Amino acid sequence: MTERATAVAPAPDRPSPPARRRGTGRPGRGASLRARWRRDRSLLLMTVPAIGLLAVFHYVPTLGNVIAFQQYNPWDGVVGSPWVGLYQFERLFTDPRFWNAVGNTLVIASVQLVFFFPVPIALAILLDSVLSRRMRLVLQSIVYMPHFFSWVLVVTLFQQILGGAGLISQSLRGAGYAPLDMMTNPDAFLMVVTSQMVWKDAGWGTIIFLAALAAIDQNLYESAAVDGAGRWRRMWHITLPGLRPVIVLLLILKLGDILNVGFEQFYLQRDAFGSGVSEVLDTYVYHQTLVTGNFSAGAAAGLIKGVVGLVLILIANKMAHLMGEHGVYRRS
Amino acid sequence: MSTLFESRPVWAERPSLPARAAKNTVLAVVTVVILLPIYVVVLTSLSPASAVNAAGGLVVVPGGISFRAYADLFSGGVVTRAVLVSLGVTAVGTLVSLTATILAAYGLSRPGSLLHRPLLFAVLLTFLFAPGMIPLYLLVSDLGLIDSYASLILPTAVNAFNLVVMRAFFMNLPGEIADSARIDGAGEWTILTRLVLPMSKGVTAVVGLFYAVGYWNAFFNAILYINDNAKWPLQLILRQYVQQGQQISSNSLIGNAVQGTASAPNLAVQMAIVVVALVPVTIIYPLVQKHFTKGVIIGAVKG
Amino acid sequence: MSLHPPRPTRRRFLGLAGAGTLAALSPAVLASCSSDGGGAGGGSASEAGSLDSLIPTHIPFEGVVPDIEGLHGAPDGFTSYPTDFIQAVQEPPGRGGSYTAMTPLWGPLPPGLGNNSFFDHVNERLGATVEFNFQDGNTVIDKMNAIIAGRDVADLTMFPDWVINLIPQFNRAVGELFEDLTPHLAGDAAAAYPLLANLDGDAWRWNVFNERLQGVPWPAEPFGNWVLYRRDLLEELGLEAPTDPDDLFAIGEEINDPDNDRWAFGDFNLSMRQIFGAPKQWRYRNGELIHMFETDEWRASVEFMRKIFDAGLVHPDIVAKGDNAKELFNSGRILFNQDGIGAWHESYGQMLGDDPDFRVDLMPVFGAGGSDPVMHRGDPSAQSVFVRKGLEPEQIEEVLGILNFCAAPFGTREYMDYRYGAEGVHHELDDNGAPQLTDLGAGEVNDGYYFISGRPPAITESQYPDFVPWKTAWYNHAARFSEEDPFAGIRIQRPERFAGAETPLTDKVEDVIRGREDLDALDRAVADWRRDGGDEGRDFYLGVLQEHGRD
Repeated sequence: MTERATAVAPAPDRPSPPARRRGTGRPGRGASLRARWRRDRSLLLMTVPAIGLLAVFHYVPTLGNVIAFQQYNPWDGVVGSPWVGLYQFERLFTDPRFWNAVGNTLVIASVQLVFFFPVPIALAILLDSVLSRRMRLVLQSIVYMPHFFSWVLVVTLFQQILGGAGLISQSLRGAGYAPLDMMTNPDAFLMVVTSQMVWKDAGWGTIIFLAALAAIDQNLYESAAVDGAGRWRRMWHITLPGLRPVIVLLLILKLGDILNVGFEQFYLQRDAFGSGVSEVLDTYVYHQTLVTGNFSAGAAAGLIKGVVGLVLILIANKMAHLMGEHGVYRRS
Repeated sequence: MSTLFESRPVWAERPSLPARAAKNTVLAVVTVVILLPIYVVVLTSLSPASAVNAAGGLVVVPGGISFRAYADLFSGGVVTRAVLVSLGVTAVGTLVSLTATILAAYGLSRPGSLLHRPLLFAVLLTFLFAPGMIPLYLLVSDLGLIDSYASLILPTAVNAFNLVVMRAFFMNLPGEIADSARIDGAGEWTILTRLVLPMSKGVTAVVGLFYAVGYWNAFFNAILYINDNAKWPLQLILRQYVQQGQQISSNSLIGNAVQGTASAPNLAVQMAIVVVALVPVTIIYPLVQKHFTKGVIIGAVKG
Repeated sequence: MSLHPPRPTRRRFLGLAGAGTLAALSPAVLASCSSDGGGAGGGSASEAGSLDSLIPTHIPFEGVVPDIEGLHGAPDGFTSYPTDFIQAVQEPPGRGGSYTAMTPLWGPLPPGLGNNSFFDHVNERLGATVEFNFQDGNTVIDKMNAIIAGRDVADLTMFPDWVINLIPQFNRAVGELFEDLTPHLAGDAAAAYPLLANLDGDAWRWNVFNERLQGVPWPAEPFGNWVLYRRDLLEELGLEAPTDPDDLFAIGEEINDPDNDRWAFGDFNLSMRQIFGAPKQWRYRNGELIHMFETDEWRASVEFMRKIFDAGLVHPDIVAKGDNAKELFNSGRILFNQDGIGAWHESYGQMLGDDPDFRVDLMPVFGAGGSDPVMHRGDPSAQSVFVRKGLEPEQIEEVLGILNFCAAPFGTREYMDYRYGAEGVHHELDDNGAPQLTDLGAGEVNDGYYFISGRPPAITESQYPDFVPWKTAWYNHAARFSEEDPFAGIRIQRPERFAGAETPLTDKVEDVIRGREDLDALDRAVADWRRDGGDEGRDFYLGVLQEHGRD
């Protein structure tokens, strides 16, 4: 039965063949450049607007990151500022606070991966299982609203509920118990920031999975049901495989973004929990740059983040290929 | 509750009572946990100053209703004008972004096509390496885009994440349809507009939403590139209400505070701002969700 | 590659370190405290003289006589508005010109030129058009760095002083981007702009860069922040204001009542430093510079803060660095809180309507252990306005005329115009003669004109009960304890490593105060600070003293 259910669901489970087969009957990789140009020119033309915009508004100013090798100041600009080689990098690498920030960032990112990343998937499946269209719309509209709250507001709301003078603490006091202050306890830090993240962005994160769920061929469910596959089996053998390409893709992109766990949330709560646990790479760079006007240190940190992200994306992409997934891109 | 089950497919079994109860409990808890703070925000925005002062913060227990915060916000026409600016930038920006993204996502959706890998890699790199604030400012300035609405759109028009996600959805479409169309002599433009897009309404709506929300929430580009206050977008106008006197650096050694004459920040107005910024978002979602329709693929295959 | 900064010599280091550093080395910026004769050391006569020749000759404006004179540099107090406003500028200064002005704004954006009768009114009085481009106040540093890089300045550009100190190479940019005002304002030339000539000499000296007078100053009250307390609630509880730190602690223990949602304190770390007598930055004694972090007084202030946090006297929201201190204070959930002194009259504006008995006061200034407190003064000019380079001489004169108008002090017709608009349109005078904004005024009146020029600070909010007498009494007492800062009047941009070393230390202080680390951690943190930039800073600052002949 299991085999049967899987067998009727080839498309989501094995996503590569269709894409590969597209070139059927046309010049392949080995074909001459001219033939490939003739075949692919309209595809290339289609990429021009986006590539052009990225080239002008992303690549050109990104070249400005050479200031990582300078002692840059805005007045002299890239041309006039003195070159200092790898000085900025060495300074970062020899600062224990940099490594503390990197460590915290990695811990937070791991916790996000384990405790935040799956939540939108589960929530999306749950929401998708609500049958009434109207009900589904209402619920989906509600869960995605907190995304539009600023971090200041989210932190304030948490403070007013979980803080030492918050609802819970004051109720405990009123009942004669000791108050419970979660918002300044470094040991509770990871739990608090993860809860905040789940509250703010889990609903927002469902959107992409809801779109993916809608793209799953409904015939598969019907055939599976007819073959006697129960609810859970259908989820395991149709729903999850259907979501897998998107999940893998987002996971890879998340890894590339691993050193960007967010700025404002941690900036706002830095002193409440102490920089020992809450300093992340971005807040570290911000504090370095703010008081010293050192743009170059920020650029150096940005380059480090980019390189780390690039390496992780390449590794994750490779692993995805080994697991038979597309990943972000693949050699064909 | 009958609406809950109105569209159960004929093949699906009716879930057991405990399963239904569990599901509904989870959904109810999620809803309450989200709606309660929203209720507090809305209530505070509708509270008179006396209630806000008595609460010493966000208002949980109603202490009267006042629309003063909203009246303050919309008096003078500044906010109204900014709403129009933001709507315009969001609409045009989303259109530009979606067009460029769809085209590129499709253009890069065929592994093995000419320059496929280098171009895709170039897109990916922009996801990893961000340009600095000042180089971007100098570029926008050199292009003569200071004080233009284009400066609020072009620098963020293409987002690598959105592009890659859209491309992944395109690649997961059954290839047979496109192949047969190609055999019938259809060009890539036709395949994209007649076949791929109709099958990709869901992801198009999602990516459109991501872009729209990005434009709607953006303010930092406007801080840098827009000097003319009449062209400020809503989020930047709203930020101004939340500022408390002259901001000094956290470092006491750097500066001394000036006692600004800014009117004291009013929590009710701040919360009214949250609500105002939330309204379009709640309106737009149903438009997006509409496209999460099931069974589109089958229809397309058959068509 | 070695880890030494690529700038081994001091000369090179200074070259890289930024604007203020160069300014500090330039003899012309040797701003001594010559006007009040106080201050430490003082420059040589010739240097002070050369600087004095760059700034306007002081012409006191004969306006409304203050009811309470400010002592020791404290601002004057006015217990009422005059019944007849003095006309300080006889003719509209403008000749029909049109100018853009860029200034940060902290507060709601007003309707722009063309939709704003307040702008029309003031521009008519000016005889010229000033069009404001306001900027987001919270990100002003980003914007200013960008416009410096892009050389995109408006005809008039206002920089908060702390922003100037954070922009690398500002000292060089200022001469290239902005007009040298020396020929127009130095010495007797300023007689053409008598209201500008009325501004304090120290504030003018602060705006000399590279031996040129570049900016128009914004003289500020000497003290920025202090502890405010709920005088009404304290009296209700039968308590008097504290007179020393132990007394403050005892009062805190008495009034703290978490069960009834009332805590004693917010955070007031900075004020405690001054009460315990720590220097603002450096103390110069016997040829040695000792930094605040190295003083026993500073340590004692941290210990005191730790004590009140440990005792649970600080509101949990404040322990968590919440941003709701004002609301907590206004609602009586905390009774003592440090804030900008201006928060006092702001809270009156917000609270007196509902609660006529609402009373706040500044905590009296006292020392610890029988010593005097050391009150940290701000720099003499809190912000500066610069004129874009390239305007025609007539245009510069017109602009300076506009700035002269906007420098009109309290009690003048012009002051009422640029701050409150037209009487009967934008504001009405209440029974005490104080302006109350009309609904139209509340929507349109803004700080634009107020920010593009300075005027002598004054305590004028007589519409609030007891406000002026209480505030002037506090100021006249507090100002006598003003610190003798060895660097008073010298604009210094802190060396980068010195500035950067401070964050780890202030982080550690937060950890100690909040009980996450023991007090011993301070010793290690201070040692690290010395190693990572503190000692480097000391050498640098000693050099500055030598350059200025103050050693």
